[in-house]
Amino acid sequence: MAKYGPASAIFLVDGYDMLANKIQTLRHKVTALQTKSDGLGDEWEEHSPIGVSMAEVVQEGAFFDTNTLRSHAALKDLPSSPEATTRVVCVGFSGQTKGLAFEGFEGVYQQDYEVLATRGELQKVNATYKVTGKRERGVILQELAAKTADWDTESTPVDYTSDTNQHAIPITSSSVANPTVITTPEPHGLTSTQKVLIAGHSGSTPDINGEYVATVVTTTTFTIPENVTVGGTGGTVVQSNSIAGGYGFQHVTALTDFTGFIGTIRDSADDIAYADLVAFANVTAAPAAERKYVAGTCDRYLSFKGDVTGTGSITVFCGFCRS
Amino acid sequence: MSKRLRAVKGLMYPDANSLPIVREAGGLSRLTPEQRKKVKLREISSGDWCDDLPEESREHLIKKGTVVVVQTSEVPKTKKTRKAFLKGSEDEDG
Repeated sequence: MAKYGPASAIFLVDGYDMLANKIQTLRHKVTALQTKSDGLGDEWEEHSPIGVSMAEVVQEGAFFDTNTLRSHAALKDLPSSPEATTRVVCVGFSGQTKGLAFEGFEGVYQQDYEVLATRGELQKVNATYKVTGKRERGVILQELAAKTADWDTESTPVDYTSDTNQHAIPITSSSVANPTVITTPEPHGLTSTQKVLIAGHSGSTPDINGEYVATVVTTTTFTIPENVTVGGTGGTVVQSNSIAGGYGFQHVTALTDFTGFIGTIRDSADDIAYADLVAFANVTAAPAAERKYVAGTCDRYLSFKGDVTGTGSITVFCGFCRS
Repeated sequence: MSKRLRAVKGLMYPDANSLPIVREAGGLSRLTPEQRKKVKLREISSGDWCDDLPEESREHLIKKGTVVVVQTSEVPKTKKTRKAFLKGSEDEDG
């Protein structure tokens, strides 16, 4: 079993690396906010949902240093009122590797920083961060790393069919029909024209394991364009593209000497031709962060491309959350 | 007048000489380090011609709106793209 430690965690706020040097607990929760709605004559207190969620990230008993570009610098620049600009926040627990999960937020940000003990430039702190804004779950396309020249990750793209955020739906059977009807024991959650990848299905003629465009019939059945003469059973189906757009997140935690940097998320349906999906704004100074929405279809493979201007060094994180 | 392909967004794909290597490997991410050294990738900016776009990627990218088919009298400048362009024109003319 893999061991997880501070190096596995990500906690970036507007390009600041907020992670403690020594961390004891890092947790987050999302709360659906309610408003008090009881009135005169009611015997019991009542609350009603208001359709707003709040995310909270907590580092308990963590040791921070007070050097530049760490939490103290972020505290110094925090907005002083609720109307201040929103913050872009990325949190991850499972590791600093391409393809692993992270959570992205954008919203008005509140930080509580309770100092427990101080010695020199080291502080033991209970730190709570609250974001009132939408949360998205995504995958890391570029782990936080320093770069000194243009680069891309097309040789190590993130394959949506291997996305741990995605649930593999079991297959009950494939019917003898043209097109064959695939039945699942639970709602498949697909949309017609969406691409799917079938794996591990056995007994059918022809073999239907592979990638297809699905046509939804019911919540637990869909067809694929295949003439099946002997039905099969078993296996799983996963989505191999998403059709409702998504959000790209980019954090630049350090930038030295480069006069510009443009990060671009690319997608591909076949791992042969890649097209620009999200182009972030030109970054000329760190720290910097951006969350950018893209509508429409996001293909199976995702990669990240970094274009720098001049010579220098830059430290970048990028992830993408499919809607 | 002939039909040509124009990129609406930035594109990246293997050039004509590298394509067989990428196809054999099953995609860019499956290239071995040795194969990777032999592969040359073309970077296409938004608005540029992309007549040598790999056949297998064309239909999907046109349907998605990433690439558009344009009627034009402008002939490609390089030998390779001219060859792909003329071949495409012959196919369309039947």
